[in-house]
Amino acid sequence: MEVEFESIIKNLPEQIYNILKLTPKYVKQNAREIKLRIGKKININHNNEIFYLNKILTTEEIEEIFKAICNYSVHSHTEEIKKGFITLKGGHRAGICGTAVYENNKLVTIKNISSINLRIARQVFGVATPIITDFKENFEKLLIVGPPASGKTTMLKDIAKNLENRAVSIIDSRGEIAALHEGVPQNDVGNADVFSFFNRKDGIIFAIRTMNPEFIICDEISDEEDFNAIKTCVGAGVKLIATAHGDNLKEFLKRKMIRKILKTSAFSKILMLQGKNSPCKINSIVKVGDLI
Amino acid sequence: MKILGTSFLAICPILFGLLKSKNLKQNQIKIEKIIELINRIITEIRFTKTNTYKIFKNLSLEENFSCLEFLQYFKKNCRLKPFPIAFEESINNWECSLKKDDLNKLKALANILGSTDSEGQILALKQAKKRFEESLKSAKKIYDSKGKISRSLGILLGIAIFVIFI
Repeated sequence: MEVEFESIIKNLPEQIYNILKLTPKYVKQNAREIKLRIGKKININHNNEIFYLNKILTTEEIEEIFKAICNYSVHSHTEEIKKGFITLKGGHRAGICGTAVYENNKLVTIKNISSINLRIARQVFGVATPIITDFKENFEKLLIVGPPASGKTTMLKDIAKNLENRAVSIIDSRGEIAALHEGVPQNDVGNADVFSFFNRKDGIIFAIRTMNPEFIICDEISDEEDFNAIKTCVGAGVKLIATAHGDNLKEFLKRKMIRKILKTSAFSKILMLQGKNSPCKINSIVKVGDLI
Repeated sequence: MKILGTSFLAICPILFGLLKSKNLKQNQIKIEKIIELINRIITEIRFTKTNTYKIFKNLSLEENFSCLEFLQYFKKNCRLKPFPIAFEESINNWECSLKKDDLNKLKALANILGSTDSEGQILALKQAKKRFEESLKSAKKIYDSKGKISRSLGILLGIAIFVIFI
């Protein structure tokens, strides 16, 4: 984790970098977030505790940090800024908070940045190995279900890495799976083609048209648009690996749209994850045919 | 021997006059190139949204901008430096005969580039372009008047020296 801490603070201006460099080793090792706010001390979230650095940030410093995390190219990050975060080198994320600017009821940008939350990224390798081994050659059409922070995206990343000898397209609608930074995936997702910040519908159609994938990987399916995109996938004979929110199988299957999606035969198996306290741990694997 | 010495003395003011005139012409060309550079930056920001460092690295590779030597310095030294600092440094290290005022206008681009969204930058760059167009007008005027005078005076002085000393 110390390496990851070092890699995230390298994105900051030299003066702030030099201050953060002095963070004690035990904090660096377990750090998850670095919070930078105007008029407040820099604080680091580690092991569910908060460590305060003796540095109060000014408006100018936050502005400079914002420019630095945009690599002095704010114009290149407009779409990300609208979504409230910027992907940094190393796959880390900077969440930004400020004043919203709306035009015709659409969020166009965030101005007067008041706080920045640096989230340290970690990629966990090997979590998908049990599934890959179990499924062997028949690894196909999988829906990963779990509550927030149960490791669904982590699992997807590892599956993508394990499928590196196959034609895989990733529809990274939230920039979390591959975490593209200036066109380069910051997470190891094998040889997958990444459609970054495409919405799932457009991404799936683009991928089928242009990259001829065997597998399409996408995150957080839930609505009618996803249903239509999934139907396209099924029609094109592309295998889909996706995630969806769900605390448990019973509640999950009560959702009308989910039942509709499962009926498309887009998924052959559902993999239920345990939850926040045991990230990436498998609870059960259920055949979709047994449920519908 | 006398002819050789006199010729040498006569050549000096001629060369000085020509050099002075050439410098004034170079200044005019450099300002024209700066305007062209701003136009290119506007296009890159508007249509490709390329990273600021990359825009300058790509432009530094173009033969068309080879007379803007600061681009080469930027390309070599920008790594790991914040853009405004790297850009200002490259202007400070640029050995050219542009007026201090023009160099300051160029340095001011450091605070514009990459600091806002595309629209904001394009507006600011268009303003900067207007200022350089004013500079170009005055550089042309200076060249038309002082350039010709320097050349003519240099040649006349050279001839006069030759006639007097021979």
